[in-house]
Amino acid sequence: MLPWLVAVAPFGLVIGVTAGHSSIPSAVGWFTGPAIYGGSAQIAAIQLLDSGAAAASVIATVLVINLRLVLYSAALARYWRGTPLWWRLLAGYLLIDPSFVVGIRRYEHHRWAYAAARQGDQRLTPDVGLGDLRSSHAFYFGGAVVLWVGWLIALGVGTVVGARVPEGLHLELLVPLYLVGQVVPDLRQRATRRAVVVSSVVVGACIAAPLNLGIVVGITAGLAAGYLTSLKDRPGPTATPAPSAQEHQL
Amino acid sequence: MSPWFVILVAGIGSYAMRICMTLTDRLIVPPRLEASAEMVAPAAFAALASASLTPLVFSATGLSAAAPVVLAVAAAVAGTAGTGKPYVAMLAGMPTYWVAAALM
Repeated sequence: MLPWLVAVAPFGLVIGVTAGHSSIPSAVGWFTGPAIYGGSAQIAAIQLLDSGAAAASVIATVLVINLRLVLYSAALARYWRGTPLWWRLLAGYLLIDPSFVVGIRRYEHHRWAYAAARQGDQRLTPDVGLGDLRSSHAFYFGGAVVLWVGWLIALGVGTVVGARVPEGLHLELLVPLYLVGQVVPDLRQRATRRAVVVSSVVVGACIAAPLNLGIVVGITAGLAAGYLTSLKDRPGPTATPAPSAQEHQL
Repeated sequence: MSPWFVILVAGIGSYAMRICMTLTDRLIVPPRLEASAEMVAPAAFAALASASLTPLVFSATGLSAAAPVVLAVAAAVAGTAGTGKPYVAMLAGMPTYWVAAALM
């Protein structure tokens, strides 16, 4: 989890700086961390609140961006079956891209080891039986807590520093540039490329729409265009995607 | 509506998404949602970037104000495409903006 923490900490700083620079109270910007706990959704919420968007628009945008969490939840559900309710409630709160990637790898390793042991008619030892599943739970939970604490610290530092950065540096450009950097590696796939282009163009065309509704309209239009393109490219639905190491951090 | 309340509601909704599948075995992810999921983040990021950059470019007074932003984005795209590392966008884009703005 430490490499992830190093990778996402600058992003937390950027979000904190953005919150410190925005018109909303810095504490509200920081509060997006423990409440929403997802970098891209946090940035969206801060930017939309800063521009005076309607509450419904902010909430809808956050939920659309975080929709992928449903898939992560579905992927981990099979491993968390049988755990206490309190554990699932707490572990679910810590679920985000890095914790999912690190956690699911560990759980799948356990599943493969378990299947291999059964296939080879070996006696199940704690290393490949329930004992290993418990250690996978501990691995996920420990890593996720470290990430969560590191993320909130980075946000806090960014929020404090951000309010003191000179206006002349134009750090308001930092977030759009960050977003550009996140999008570019995804442009190899035709469907994603089309989703990105349509989304950008529609938002640009709807920039004067009231309550910043253009963003929600743009995302929806982009997803529709991407989905239609993917139908042409591959007839059947794909399997649950697991985010790559370069995928959107937090 | 208070921004605190908006963030809280958005947070509760996000939390519900995180735990919904782990609390029951009956929910099934619709295939259409699965197929579109990998495009949500890029589409949302592009929308947010466009919403930030469009006013900077089109409300700029003259080429000298708009050009640094365009050049910064171009440098960000080129830097990321060349290295495959997303953070290069900021490392390439911001200095390009500062230099271009100083020159124009």
